[in-house]
Amino acid sequence: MKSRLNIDRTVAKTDAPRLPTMRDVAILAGVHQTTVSLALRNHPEIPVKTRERIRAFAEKIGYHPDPALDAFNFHRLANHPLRSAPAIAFISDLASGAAFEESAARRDVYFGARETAGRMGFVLERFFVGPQNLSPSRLNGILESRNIDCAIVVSFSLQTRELPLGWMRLCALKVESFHLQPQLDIITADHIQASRLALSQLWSLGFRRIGMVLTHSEDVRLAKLSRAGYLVELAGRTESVPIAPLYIDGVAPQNLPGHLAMWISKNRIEAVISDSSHILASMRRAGYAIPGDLGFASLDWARTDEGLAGVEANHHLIGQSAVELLAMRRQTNERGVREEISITFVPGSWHDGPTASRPGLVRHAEVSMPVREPALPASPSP
Amino acid sequence: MVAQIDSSPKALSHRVTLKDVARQANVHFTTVSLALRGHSGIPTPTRARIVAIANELGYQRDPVFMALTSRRTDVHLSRKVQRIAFLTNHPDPAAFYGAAHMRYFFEGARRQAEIMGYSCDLLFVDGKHLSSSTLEARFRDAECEGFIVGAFNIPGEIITLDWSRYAIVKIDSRFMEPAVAVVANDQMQAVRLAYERLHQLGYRRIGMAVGRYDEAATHDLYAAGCLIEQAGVPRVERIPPIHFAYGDRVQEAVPKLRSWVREHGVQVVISNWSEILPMAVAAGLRVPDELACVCLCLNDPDRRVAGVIQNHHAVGRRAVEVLGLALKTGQRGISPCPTAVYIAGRWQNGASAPPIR
Repeated sequence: MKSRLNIDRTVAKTDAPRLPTMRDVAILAGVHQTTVSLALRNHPEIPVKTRERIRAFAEKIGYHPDPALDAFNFHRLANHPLRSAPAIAFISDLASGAAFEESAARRDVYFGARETAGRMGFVLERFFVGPQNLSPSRLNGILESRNIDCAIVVSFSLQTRELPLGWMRLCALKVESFHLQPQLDIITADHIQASRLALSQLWSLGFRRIGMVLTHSEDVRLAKLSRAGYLVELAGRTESVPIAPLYIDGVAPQNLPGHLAMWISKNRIEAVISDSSHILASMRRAGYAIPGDLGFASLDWARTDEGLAGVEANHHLIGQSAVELLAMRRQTNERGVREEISITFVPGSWHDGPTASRPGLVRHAEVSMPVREPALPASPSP
Repeated sequence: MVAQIDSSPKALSHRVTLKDVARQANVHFTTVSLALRGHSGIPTPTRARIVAIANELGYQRDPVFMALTSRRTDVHLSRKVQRIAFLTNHPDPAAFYGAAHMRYFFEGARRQAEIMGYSCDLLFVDGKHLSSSTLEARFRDAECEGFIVGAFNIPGEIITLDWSRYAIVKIDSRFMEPAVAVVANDQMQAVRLAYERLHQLGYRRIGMAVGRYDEAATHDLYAAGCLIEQAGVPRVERIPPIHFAYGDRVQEAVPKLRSWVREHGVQVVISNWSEILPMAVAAGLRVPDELACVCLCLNDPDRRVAGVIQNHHAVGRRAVEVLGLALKTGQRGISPCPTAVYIAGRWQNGASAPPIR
């Protein structure tokens, strides 16, 4: 009877041309309107056959979801926060919140994600997995029982090779974590662009013999992208010589200055690019004046590093993009491990600083220039 | 009058609305709405006062909301499905559909558009069908606010529009304006994957042959993949890549390939040219005994050719996803921080590069 009534009402209104609505599809299919909504958004709760049947009905009468309305819903929550906002899990394999916040980069990713989540009506909640923290199965239990269906997996270390969770029900993305199973879409700083930018800036300042100081585990963790950028940028320049990078893993802090000095003088290094801003202090302890003897650019530039030149990654935007993409995929129920993997690279920007001033006196055994010539772009070292 | 701005955390997380402005100005919110739209029914001094308060509070019109309300009035007539466009500068439909990768890009885009509720039109920008000026009119008529620059060719028609009016995503097309998000096949990953698999198959003298044009078009992603893989092998195994010149056709490339293979004792060539196998044959080399061949841009599985099958469908789908996000969040025009999205391909073993014992 009820559906009959609805049909009559529909007919009565068709004098004026009217677009089919979700309710029309529901009447035809003999299901509730909410079932249509779930089915068209591909919700796993609705049996596949029912989803197909409902989709066929929608097609038949020409019902389409309205993207403008979608977009509106996407924004609506900003002004009307739900009483219990859905949560997005922000998962790290570090030991604790304090360890997580040691890195300004990770902090910015978190802030970017949290801010965006808040703006879109989500709550961002941090979880730590690992031997001292939650086991993956325990975490999975929490996510399931709390009905959390979005996850961002953030900057996992090489020690954690896989994260077995019930991915089928999750909308999920990784920040970095190239090596980590499962394969999910990745958002990362564009490390190729960053080292290309640093190298080309140093080059345009007149530095020629430019070397990289890296942490091997970080290089591997980030799929050697920084080094790829360095090599390809150098390859495009005539008279350029790639210098094998210096890896500093496992070098005791007190030995680091000596280690650096040996590499610098052996390779007649004029400028250093490093993934760690801390290395600057060790180079100064080794007796190099920077600026003056050497140029330096950091690939981990942060606002707090005074007097430093380098590339600042847009970590905030990485966090923001991750949440926006998840929110959108949640709407269309694109869950689970995807067949194809995409990597989103977010570019960084160059910051000038005194550590990358025009090279003058380069203090090496072979090069002895008595007078500093700060204004001249240096010709390549002999 | 000084507007008091509540700076408690709760207020900061709340976006300024018309009602906030109304409360501050002590008028009804419909008055604010009219005033901000410059309605002549509101006296000029009142309008100025309201605009000043709105600016002070940081009120901003929500582009998404505007898009919705602007169409609300005619929703009961014939609501059009929101349209996005896939632009190509291929000379004609035959050329477009004849290029499998273009067809796959578009099919992927259209499929994702359907899921998200857009309709995706294929538009030919080739000077004959559409040019920059007619394109703007076309977008206006179709109420189209977002488009994909679909892997434009060089040479070919280039467009220049008022970018700030549209949400825009490019597939490849890095050589041209505007600076917006790019979605593309992951060429660097393809090269690295090929090196890795060939190493596992027992190959040591691995050489890469690509076009200069393709390097420029991808910002040297082929070279980056090659250099980083070569950095991990002994110096004697690092074969310098060969670059075919701009405008080289197969007949010009074949002799270059032959002398490069001879000079460096290349065991296997990795190339993004789909004709690499017939080229090796034309160079008088027995495949795979004298020269094994790997193609980096296979469109479909083919047991005869080893290489990387590119997921063009996924590129199209992902492009629409990025476009949809821009439309939803109200991003228009060039991006201050244009991202690059790369889609990985997958390896396929094939007769042209069998395992070496």
